[in-house]
Amino acid sequence: MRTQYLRRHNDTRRVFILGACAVVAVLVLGVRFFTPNFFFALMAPLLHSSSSVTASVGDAVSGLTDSSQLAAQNRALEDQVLALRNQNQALTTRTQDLTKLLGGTREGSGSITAGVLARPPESPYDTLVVAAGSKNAVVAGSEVFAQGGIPIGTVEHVGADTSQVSLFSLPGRTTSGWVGENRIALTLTGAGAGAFTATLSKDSSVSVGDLVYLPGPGAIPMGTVARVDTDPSSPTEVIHVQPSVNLFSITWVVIGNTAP
Amino acid sequence: MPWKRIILCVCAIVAPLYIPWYLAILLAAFAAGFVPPIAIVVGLIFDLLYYPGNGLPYFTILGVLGAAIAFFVHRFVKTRIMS
Repeated sequence: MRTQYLRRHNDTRRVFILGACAVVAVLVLGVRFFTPNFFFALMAPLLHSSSSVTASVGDAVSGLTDSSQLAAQNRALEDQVLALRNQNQALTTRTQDLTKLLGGTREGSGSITAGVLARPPESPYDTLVVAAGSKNAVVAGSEVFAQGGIPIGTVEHVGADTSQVSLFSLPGRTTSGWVGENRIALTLTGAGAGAFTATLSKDSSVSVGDLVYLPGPGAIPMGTVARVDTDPSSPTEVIHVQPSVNLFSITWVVIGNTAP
Repeated sequence: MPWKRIILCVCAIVAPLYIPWYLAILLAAFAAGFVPPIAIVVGLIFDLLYYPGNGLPYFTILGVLGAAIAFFVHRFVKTRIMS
């Protein structure tokens, strides 16, 4: 008798808990979809703290490395930065000369720099949450660029202070691009975590190491061909693209004022 | 002990903000063994924060399935102990 009473009592309590959870879930879903600005305004401090904690942990772990090794690494990186800075300067000068010679359009300066609050692998859907929203004149559909002007995605949702960026590498998402010196047109399909695949005909002469380009503006190199899969029975080959941007450590992005 | 379950649930709920998603899923699965509705809560949190707006909300679906499995496993184990 006592066992049956306890079992009924526990079942009632369990049903009550599940019902309460369902009500809370419906309320939270309602807030998320009908008042998304309010929801992300609530979550923004937590996302900021998440970025701070991640950075602190990274600094603490890097402090455990041997100091002489760190110093050598630092010197090598400084040399690399100097070389790249010089190369960038030379290319900028060349671009300016060519623009003067051929005439060019004046680019708008409406781009917005935004810090990244959440990135893969914390974010599972190949999305970024950035600390810029409608207050910073961010518009849904704008193209988003990583360091070096490499396009990585588009703004999907805009809140007051934060925005959600959907990356081009979202599984199943397709983007037009080009590959190789001959700029062979292809359709890149997202494979997650910044990687892409594309299907080309076998006589396209694409090889490992060829650069892959995305539009915006012009053809911008965004990765290299990491692997080419061929099947003797198929007239096509599948290329796998490795991105040049490490999305797992991206800290800031530039949001353009135009859609791709 | 109830306070251990509370700490475990709180850790599972904040995990989507601080650790990689696959580790957060593992932690939620472990917590669901003690409190099955946590799986739904964590799945909802993932989709509320990161759902891109197209396609299925996979983490909510995974959370509901995980909670259902955890609920039946929990009940099955408990029944065997009691009987």
